Amino acid sequence: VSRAHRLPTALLAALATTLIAPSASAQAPSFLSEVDRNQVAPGEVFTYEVTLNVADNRVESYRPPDFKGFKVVEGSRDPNRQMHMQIGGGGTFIQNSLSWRYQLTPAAGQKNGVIAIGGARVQIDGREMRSNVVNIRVGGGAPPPPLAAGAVPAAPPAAAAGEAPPLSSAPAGSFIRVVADRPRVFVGQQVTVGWYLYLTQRPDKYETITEPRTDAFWTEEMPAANGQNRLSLTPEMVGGRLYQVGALFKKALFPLQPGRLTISPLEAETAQVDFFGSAMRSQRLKAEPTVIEALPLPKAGQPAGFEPSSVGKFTLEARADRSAVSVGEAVTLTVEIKGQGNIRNLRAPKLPALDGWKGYQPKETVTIDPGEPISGSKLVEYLLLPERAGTTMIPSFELPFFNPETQSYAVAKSEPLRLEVTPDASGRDHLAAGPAAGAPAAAAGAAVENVITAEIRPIRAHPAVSRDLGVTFYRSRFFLGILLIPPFGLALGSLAGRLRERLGQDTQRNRRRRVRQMVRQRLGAAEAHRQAGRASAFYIEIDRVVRDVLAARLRRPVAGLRMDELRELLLQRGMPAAEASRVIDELEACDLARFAPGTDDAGSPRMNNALERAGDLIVAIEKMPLRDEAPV
Amino acid sequence: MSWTRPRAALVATGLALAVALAAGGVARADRRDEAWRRGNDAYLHGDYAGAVAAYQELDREGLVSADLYFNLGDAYYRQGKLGRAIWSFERAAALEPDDDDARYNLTQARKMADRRAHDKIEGADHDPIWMRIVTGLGPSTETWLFVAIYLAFFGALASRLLRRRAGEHTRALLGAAAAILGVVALLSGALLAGRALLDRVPFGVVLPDVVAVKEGADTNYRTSFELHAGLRVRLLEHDQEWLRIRLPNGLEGWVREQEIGAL
Repeated sequence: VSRAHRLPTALLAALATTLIAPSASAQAPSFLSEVDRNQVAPGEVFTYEVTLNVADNRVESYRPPDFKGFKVVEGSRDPNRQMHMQIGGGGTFIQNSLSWRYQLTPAAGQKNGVIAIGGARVQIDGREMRSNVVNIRVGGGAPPPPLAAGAVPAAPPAAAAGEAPPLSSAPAGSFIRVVADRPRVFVGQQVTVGWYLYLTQRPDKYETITEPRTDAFWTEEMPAANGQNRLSLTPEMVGGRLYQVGALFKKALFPLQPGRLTISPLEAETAQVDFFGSAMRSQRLKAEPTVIEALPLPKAGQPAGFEPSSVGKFTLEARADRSAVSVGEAVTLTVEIKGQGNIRNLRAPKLPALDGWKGYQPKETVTIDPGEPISGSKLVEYLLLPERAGTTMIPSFELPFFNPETQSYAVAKSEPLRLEVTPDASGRDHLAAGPAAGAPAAAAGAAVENVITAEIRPIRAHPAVSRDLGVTFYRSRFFLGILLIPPFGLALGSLAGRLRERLGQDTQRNRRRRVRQMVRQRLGAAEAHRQAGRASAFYIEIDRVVRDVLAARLRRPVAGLRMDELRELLLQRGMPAAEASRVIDELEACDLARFAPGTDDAGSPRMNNALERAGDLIVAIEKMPLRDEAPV
Repeated sequence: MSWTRPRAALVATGLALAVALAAGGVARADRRDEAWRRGNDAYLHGDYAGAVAAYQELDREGLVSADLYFNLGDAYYRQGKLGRAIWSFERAAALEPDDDDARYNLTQARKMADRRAHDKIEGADHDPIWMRIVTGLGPSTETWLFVAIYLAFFGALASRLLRRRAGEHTRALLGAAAAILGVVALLSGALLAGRALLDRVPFGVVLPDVVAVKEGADTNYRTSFELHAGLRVRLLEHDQEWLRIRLPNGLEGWVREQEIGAL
C-alpha cells in the first residue's frame, strides 16, 4: 500500500471513528504495511511503516518483518502511539493507533528485481494478526553518484511539500530545524530551504516572531503545508522521542553574490492557552543561522552577452502572431523563455531596432511553477507596427546561460523570423519621394505606393492656447457669489419700489415731509439770492415758499387769491386773526420789496430779517391747527 | 459737481490697480502662449519629450483647455505612453464631448493599448443614468447654458417688476416667460449640480503599462490583481502616496498615486 493510498484510508477510519461511534468499539482492528515508494535504486533509502489501529484491545508480541534483501538503516523499537477519543452517542469510544517506522535500503549485492517484504505480526487479545506483504522493485533508478572534490553536491531526494526529511537524532526539547537541500551552490543556482517546527507538545497557539532574512538571495516563496500562524502538525519519532512536526515555510533561494551567505535565524513562539484563551505556558524557539556557500561562476568559456542572472537550464523560442501583414497592422512578436532557474530575474534578450517598424514597450509575463526546482516561463511580447511595405528578417534571439548541473555554459537560440509587409488594403501609393533610408527598395519600374496609415489626428497648432472659460468660471470660487447677485438685486429693487410707492402716498406725514423738503430748497435758493444781491428774486422765493406752505396746509392752491380772499380763507380754516394778519403782512412786504428793487444791497439786514421772519412764519403755519375744507 | 482730493486719489488708485491687474493678466497670457508655441514646435520637430514638458508646464499652471489636453495626448501617444495618452484624451473629451478629434484619438489609443493587454472586467456595472446625462454635455456648455437661462429668468422677473404700469397683457406675458425660464433654469441647474456631484466622484486612468493592485496601502501587501494602461477606475480614498480604487465590477485595491491619472 503506497503512501498515496493511505490518506483516504485514514480519512475513512477517522470518519468511521467520528460518525459511526457506537460501532467503532466493535470495529475490527486494522494492521497495514506501507512504503513511501515501490521502486528504489540500489543504495537508495526508503521508508517502510506498519500501522495498527485498535480499540481498547490488548496488544502484545509485535514482530517486524525479516526485511530479507534489505538493510535496516534506522528502525524504531517502540511504536509511535496516538489515541483518539470520542465522547457522546451513548458512550466513550477510544481508538489507538500504533505505528512502527523503518528506513530501509537494498542490501549490498542485492540483484535487481522484485523483493517482497513479508508482513509484520502482532498479538491482539491473544489472536495473531499479520500485516500485508509489500513488493519493492529494486533497480531502474541510478544511485546518487559520489561527490567529486569541489563539486556542487546534488540535491537529496525531494521531500513532499511540507514534510521534513527524516532526522536521526534531536535535542531533548522543542526546536526549529532548518533544512537546506544543498550546502554549496553557484551564484544564481537554486537552493531550497525549509523551516520545520519540532514540538514535544502540541501547542494551542503559534506565532512567528522574527522571519529569517535572506538579503543576499533572490527569493521565491514555495508552497508549504501551513499558512501563516496556522500549524498542521504530524507526529514523528526522532531518536526514540515523539515530536509533533510542522512545516513553517519553504523558500527557493538564488545567491546574488559569491561567498558564505548567511540566512538569519527564524524565531517563533508557541503557547498553551487556558479555557478562556489566555496564554498559560509560552515558549520561544530560535533556529540556528544557516550558511550557504555560493561559488562564483566560472570565467572560462563564458559567452559574450552572458548575464549573471541566467543560471539554470533554459530554452528559447520566438514567434510572431502572423507572418504577413499590411502596413499599419500590428504584429505581436513573442519571445518565450522556458526552463528551470530564476525565471523571474532572468533578463530577456532585447529586440534590435527594426528599420521601417515602430516598436512599443514590451510586455513581460512570468509564470512560475513553484516545484522543486523552480521552473516556469517568461513571455516577452513586443507590439510592432510596420510603416513600410517590404520583407523584414528578425534575427534569432540568443540567451547565454550557465547550467549548474553540467557546470558549463550554453546558449539558447530562437529561429530567425521572416515578416512580409504588404501595402495596406486602401491601395494608396508609397511615399512619392521614395522609401526612407534602409527601407526595402521598390522594384524597378514599379509604381511607388504612398501608404498613409490610420494614425491619430494631429495637434492643434493655434498661435495661442485657448482657455475653457466656462469650466474656469464654474470651478472658480466667484461662481456661486456671482449667481447670488441677480436674486439679491431683484430683492433690493423690489424693496426699493415698495419704499418708493409708500413714500409717494398722500398722507399727512408724507405731505409734511414733502413741504419740509420744499421749504429747505426754497429757503436755500432765497439765501443764495440774498448773498448774490438779487433782491427781487429773493422776495419772489420768500413769497412762493410762504404760499406753498399755506397751499400744503390748506390742501388747495392759494396762488391766484387776492390778499383779502386769502385772509378770509385763513380765518375760515381757523387761523387766529393775528396770525392771518402776520401772513398777509409778510406777503405784502414781499410784494413791496419786489416792485421796489435797488433799495436793498446784498446781504442787507432787511433781507436777513425777512428770511428770519419767513422761517418763523413757516414754523408757525406748520404748527397751527387748521381745519380741512368743508365739503360742498 | 467738484471732486474732492481723497475721492480723486481713490479713483486713481483703483485705475492703477485695474491697469496693473490687466498687465499681469496679459503677461501671464503671453507666458502661456509662449509655452504653448514651444510645445507645438517641439512636437512638430519630433521632440515629443520636449513637447510633453512644455504642455505639462501649462497643465501645472492650472490652465483648463481641451486643446492643451488634446496636444498632450498626441505627444504621449507618440512617445508610446499609451496610458498617459488615454488619460489626456479622456480629459479633452470630458471638456468637449462633441470634439470628434479627441474621441477619435481616444479610440485609437485604446485600440493600441488593447493590443498590448486588455482588462476584461467581468460583471461590470454601467454608469448610472444621471451620470450619463450629465456627461452628455461638456461642463463649459452646461455652465453657460445655466448662466444664460438663469440671467434671463431674473431679467424677466425684473421686467415684470419694473413695468407695474404696463398693461395686464404685457405683465401676463412677462410672468409666463419668467415661469418657463424658471423651470428651464431649474433643469439646467440640476444638470450643473450633477456635474458638481460628478466632480466629487473622481475617476482616474491607469497610467503605466502594468499596475499591481495591492490589498493595502503598502508595497508589502499581497497583490490582488493587475491592471493595464488606460483602464478607467473610480478613486475612493487617498492615504499618503496610495489611492484606493474601485473597478466597475466593485473590485477594490490600492495603487500608488503616481500610477493613476485623475480625471
